[in-house]
Amino acid sequence: MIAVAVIPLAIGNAYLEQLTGIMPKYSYDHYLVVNASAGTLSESIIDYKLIGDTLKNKGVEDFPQLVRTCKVIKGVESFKTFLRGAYLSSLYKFKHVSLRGNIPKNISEVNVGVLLAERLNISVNDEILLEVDGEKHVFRVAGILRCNCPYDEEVLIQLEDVWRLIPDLDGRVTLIEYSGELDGGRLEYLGMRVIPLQPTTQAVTGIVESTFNTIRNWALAICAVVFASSYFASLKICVDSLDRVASLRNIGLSRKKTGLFLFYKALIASLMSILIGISIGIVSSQVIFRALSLILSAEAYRPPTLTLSDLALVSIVSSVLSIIGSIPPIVRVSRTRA
Amino acid sequence: MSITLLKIIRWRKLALILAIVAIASAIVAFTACISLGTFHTISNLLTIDTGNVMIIYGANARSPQTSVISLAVYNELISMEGVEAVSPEVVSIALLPNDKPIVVRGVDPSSLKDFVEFKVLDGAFIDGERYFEAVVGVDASKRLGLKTGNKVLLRSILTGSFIEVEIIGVYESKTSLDDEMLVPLQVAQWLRGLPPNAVSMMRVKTSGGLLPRENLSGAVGGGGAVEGPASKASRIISLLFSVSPGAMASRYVARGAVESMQEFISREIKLNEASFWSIVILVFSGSVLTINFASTLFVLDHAKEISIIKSIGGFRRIHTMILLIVLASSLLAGLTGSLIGYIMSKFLSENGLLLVGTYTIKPLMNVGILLASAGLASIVSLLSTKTALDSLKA
Repeated sequence: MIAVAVIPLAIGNAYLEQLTGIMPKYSYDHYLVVNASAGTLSESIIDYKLIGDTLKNKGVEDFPQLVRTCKVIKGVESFKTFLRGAYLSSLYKFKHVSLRGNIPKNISEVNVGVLLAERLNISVNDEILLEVDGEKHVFRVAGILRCNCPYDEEVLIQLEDVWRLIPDLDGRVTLIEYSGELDGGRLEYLGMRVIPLQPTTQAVTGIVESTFNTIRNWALAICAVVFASSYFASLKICVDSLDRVASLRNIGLSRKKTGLFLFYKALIASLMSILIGISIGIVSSQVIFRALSLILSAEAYRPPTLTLSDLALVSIVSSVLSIIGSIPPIVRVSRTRA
Repeated sequence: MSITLLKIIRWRKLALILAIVAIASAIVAFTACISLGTFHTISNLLTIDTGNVMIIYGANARSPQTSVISLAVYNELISMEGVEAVSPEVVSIALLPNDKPIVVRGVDPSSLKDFVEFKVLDGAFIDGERYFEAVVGVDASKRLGLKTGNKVLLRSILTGSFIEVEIIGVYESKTSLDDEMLVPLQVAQWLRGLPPNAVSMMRVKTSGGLLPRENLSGAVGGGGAVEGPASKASRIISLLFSVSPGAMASRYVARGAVESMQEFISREIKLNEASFWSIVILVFSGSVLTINFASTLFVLDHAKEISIIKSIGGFRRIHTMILLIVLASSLLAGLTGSLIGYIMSKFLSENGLLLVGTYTIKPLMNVGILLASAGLASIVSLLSTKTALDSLKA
C-alpha cells in the first residue's frame, strides 16, 4: 500500500524535473520599464530625463514612448485610438516598420498606421484633426506605416512634439523599451518596474508547475486511502493478536507489558512496511517509468525520485496512523482482567 | 429471531465501516471524475465534438494550436460546396501582469459564432473591428481575477511583443474557450509573431455527409487560392494586408476536433485513456484493500456473538442477515461517498486547483460512474464480509 502511494509521487517528481531540465534557458535582452505604482500601462508616467541620465552609456538602447488616448477625425468620421510619441527613426528601425511617405519633421506632422488609414480613408498629405486631452489640433499625414503590430492602428508623432503639444507632460513618458543587458536594480530603486519581454521560460515553468500541482492534488487522494489503510492494517494486526495476548495475561503478563507488546508489534510492522513499501514503490516506479519511456519512445527521461518532504510525509503519517490503530486494542487489553 | 440478530450488531462499529466505504467510494469517484475530466478537457480543447466540424491545420504540426497555415486556405474552403462556415484562428500564449499565463485566441468573432454559442455574462462581445479590445471566458475571469473594464498588459511568451488591451466583456461558452481570452485576429498574430496572411488553424463546418473528410483535405492540400463569396472572406481579408510567402505548411490535414486533439495526446504527450484508467485502477485497488480490512474487522468484532448464534442453530439466518445489512448500508454509503467525491472534484475545479496547462479540468460525472463506484464499493464490502463470515469456525 505504501508502494502505491510512492509510485505516483515519484513519477510526478521525475516529470517535473524532466520538463524543467529540458526547458530552454533564455537570457533576457528586451525589457519594458513602467512606473511601479501604475495599475495599468496607460496610467504609467515616468520622468524620462532622470531615467535616461541614470542609464547613459550602459550599453543599452532605449525607446521611450509617451502614449495618450486620442480621437482622430477625418471629415465626418472619427475613431478613438492612441497617440504615440517616440523618437520615430530609431523606433521604426527597432520595430522593422515600413513607411510610405516620410517621418514627421515638425510639430504639425504625424504618421498614421495602415489599419487606421484604411478605416478613415486617410492618404499621405491628407489633413486630420486630432483631439488630445480635450484640445483639437490639425496635422498633416507625412506617412503611413505598416508593422503588423499595434502601431498599425495608431497615430505616431515625434516625442519632442508631443511634449510641446501637452506641456504638462514635458520630459515624461509612459514606458521605455530597452534592448540589451539591463541592470534592473537601479531602475527599481527609482520606483520603476522592469518587465522582461519574451518570458518563455517563466511561462512554461508556470504551466508545468500548475499541471504538476494538479497531479499532486490528485495523488493526495491515493495517499488518503493508503493512510486510512495503515490505520486499519495496524488495528487488524492488534485485534488478531488479542487471543495470544489473553493467553499471555493468563500466564501472568502485566497489563502494561501486554499493552507494550501490542504497541511494539504495530510499530515494528509499520516501520517494516514503510521501509519495504518505499523501496518497492521506488523500484517499481522506476521499472514502470523506464518501460513506458521505451514503449513510448521518449528519448530522454529522468528516473523517478522521492523528495525528502514526500519521504517524510509518507513515513510520518503512515507511522502515526499505524500507532493510532494499535491504541483501541491496547485500551481493550488494559481493561480486561487476567 | 431477526430482532435478536439486529440487537447483536454493534452499530457504532458498523457506522465506522460505512464511513470507510463512503470515503473509499468518494476517493474512487473523485479520481474517476478527474481522470475522465482531464481526458475530456484535453480532447475538447478545440470544440465540443459535433461530428460535422473539421479542423484544418498543417500536416506536420504537433497540434492544431501550434500549426501555421496560409489564410488563403480560407477562400478555398468557403467556396467549396458543402462547407457551411469557416473560422480562422490564431492561438498564442501570453503572460498577464501577475505572471500567470493565458491562452489568447485571435478570432473573427462573427465566424466563430457559427461554431460556438456565446452567452455574454457581462459587458459586450468583441466585434473584431477594434484592435485594443478583448473578451475573457468565465473560467479565466474567475481564476485570474479579470473583469470587464480592466486594462491588462499581455506579454507574448514566444516573441518580444506586448500590448495592453481593455476587457470589454465576460462570456460563457460551455467549452474550453471559457479558459481563454479572445482578441481580434491581428492582435494574436502580433503576439504569436505571425505575418498577416497566416493563422494557426481553421474550423470548418460541413453540411452532414455532403463533404467527406478526404475531399476536404484533398481540396485544400494542393494550395492556391480560389476567389470565394464576397461577404465574410473579403471582410476578413480586408483587415489583413500583404500576403507574403512564409514558412507555412504546404500540406494540410482535416480531422475531427476531438480526433485531432486525441491524436496529439497519443502522439506528443503520450497519454491515452488507458493511462488515465490505470490511475483509477491504482486508487481502486487501494480502496478495495481498505474496505476489505474494514469489513473483516467488522466480522471479527462480532465473532463471539456469531459463534454463539451459530451454536444454537441460527447459522443460515445470521449470515444472510449480516450480509443484507452490509449490502444495503454499504450501497447507501457508496452512493453518498460517490456524490461527495464528485462535489469534492467540482469544488477543486471551481477554485482553480485542477489545471492542465492553462485549462481548468471539468470533472466528468454520469449515472454510470456514480453507480459503478458505489456498486463496486458495496460488492467488495459484501464479498469481504462473506469471506470473513465463512472463515469463522462454526
